[in-house]
Amino acid sequence: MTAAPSPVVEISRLSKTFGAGTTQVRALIDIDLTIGTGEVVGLIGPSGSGKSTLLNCIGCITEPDFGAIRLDGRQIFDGEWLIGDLRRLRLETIGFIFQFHNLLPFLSAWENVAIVRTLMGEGTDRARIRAMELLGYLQVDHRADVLPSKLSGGEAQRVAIARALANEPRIILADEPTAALDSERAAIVIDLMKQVAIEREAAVIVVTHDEKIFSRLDRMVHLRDGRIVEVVAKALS
Amino acid sequence: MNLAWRDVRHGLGRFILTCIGLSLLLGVVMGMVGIYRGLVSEALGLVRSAGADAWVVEAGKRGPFAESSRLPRDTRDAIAVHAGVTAAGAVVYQTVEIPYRGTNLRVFIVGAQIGRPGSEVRIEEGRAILNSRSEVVADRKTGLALGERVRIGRDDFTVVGLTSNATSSGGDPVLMMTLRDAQIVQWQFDPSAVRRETARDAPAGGSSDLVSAIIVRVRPDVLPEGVIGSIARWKHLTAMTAAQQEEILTRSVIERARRQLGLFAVILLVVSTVVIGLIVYTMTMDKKKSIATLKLIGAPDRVIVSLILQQALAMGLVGFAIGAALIRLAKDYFPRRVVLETSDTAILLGIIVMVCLVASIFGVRSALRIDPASALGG
Repeated sequence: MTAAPSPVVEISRLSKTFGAGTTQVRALIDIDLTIGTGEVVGLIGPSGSGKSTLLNCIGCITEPDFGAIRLDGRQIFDGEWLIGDLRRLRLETIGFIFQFHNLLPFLSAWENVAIVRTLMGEGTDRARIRAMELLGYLQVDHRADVLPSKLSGGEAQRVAIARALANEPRIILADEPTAALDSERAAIVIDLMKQVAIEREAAVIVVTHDEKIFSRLDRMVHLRDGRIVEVVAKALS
Repeated sequence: MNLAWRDVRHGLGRFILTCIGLSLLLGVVMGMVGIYRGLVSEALGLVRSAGADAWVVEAGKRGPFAESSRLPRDTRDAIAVHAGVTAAGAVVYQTVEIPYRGTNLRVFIVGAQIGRPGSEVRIEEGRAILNSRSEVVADRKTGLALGERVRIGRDDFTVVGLTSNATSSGGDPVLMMTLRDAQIVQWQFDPSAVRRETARDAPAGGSSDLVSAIIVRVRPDVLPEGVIGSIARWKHLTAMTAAQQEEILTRSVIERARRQLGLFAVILLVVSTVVIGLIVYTMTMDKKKSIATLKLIGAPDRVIVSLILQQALAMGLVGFAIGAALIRLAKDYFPRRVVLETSDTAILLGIIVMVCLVASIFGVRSALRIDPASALGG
């Protein structure tokens, strides 16, 4: 029997409304969600369903109106932000992976990874060593000195994953990470994220429309009109 | 890890081109200041090189540079024996245009008594004037060569010496000759004019033994103000100290030009501020996605502000350095003297740093307003 994963992301009664009056949009309504270590959870739904807003709220980018958020055992939102420096919280707790990798074009592959460590206050030499370890782990260390413009799509996404892991996050938020990849590469990226989630005891939340990766997710949280309408867990094999 | 430098390195060609464009603008600002300094230097150079303790001119005049002045040459003899005076020299100043190599050469004639105040000149090539007639020492800006003969008025003169940086307040190069020669050039009528005036039964020119001013030097233990006070009591003369003469020149001759050049320099600095501001803003907007990503992964505002400020300062300083080099290379080709003083360069450098900081405000404000959420999605 497998032990229940300890919760990393705990969300309760989370609500968010944009605009007012006739232009008011209720983006999130009473969302309850708990995600544990080693889990890869997909947020699925049509455009405007609220999945990106939920991701932004978990990522401390968008402030919810009501509810509570607990990240890695720490209460960060309860009707209002409880943490003053949200950027520091992101830097120390969350890793981001983007649809178009969003690597900084003026930094080489290793610099794109090492910058996270230097922002945390580590020296460049030590940050470089850590970055090279991560690039090696993701098998792109041979491209460490190359600028993003010279990397292939798959290589760039691996470097982006390495950057997301650089701060050793407990939560990885991925926004359409496979949208720009073919099926084979998309499967590799998701498997890699799953591997990272297990090995590093992190929770991975993926916003996706990409049906070809659905089967590789541990859970699929379907959203529609700001509400969770269905949660589908992967059958244990 | 210096993000500003890495971003510059990534777009080095564009950065250098931007700096070169900016350097031309800043070079013009430096040129304006240099032209102003040159104007002052030219205007005061002749006064200072005379080494006068006092100037004596026609009564009620502020000559001989700000306005014309005439007084009899023998006034000098009376002043020379005044108590406390060690030397006095009569001088004639006049601007003339002389035919030279098919065109007209505009020069400022200085006529001085050999061996007396006003006649000293630093000879760079050739020799000083020895003969009392028909010899001149020319400033190099005249283009005259050593040994060359040039016609001035009704006489031919030989260039026996060359000097430099000797110009009038109007920037005309100096041609130095004996007092007598200068008097002839200034006062002697052409024979046909003399005949015509004689036929009209009118005197042709009157006395020609007039000078523009007397340069006075006093004993070290005597205050020039005392000598001036004494000379001023001779009612047909005006006397002033060297400092007063410089003040008259500064106020009368170069004050308007100073204000004009100053205004131009200020306008150019404002234009530079706007240009740097626009460039910084554009550079910031080009990095919008990168800045959003930096914010999203947790970079504090100081990292982003530092990125923009460092690039703005680098652009300003590199532009300033190139501009300073360009103006130093080009200064000798300007028609008027351009004097680049270290203190002016240092002050301008400080102003450029301030301009860069001010110009960065819009870029910094825009960068701080970028929503980190914009890094997500396409």
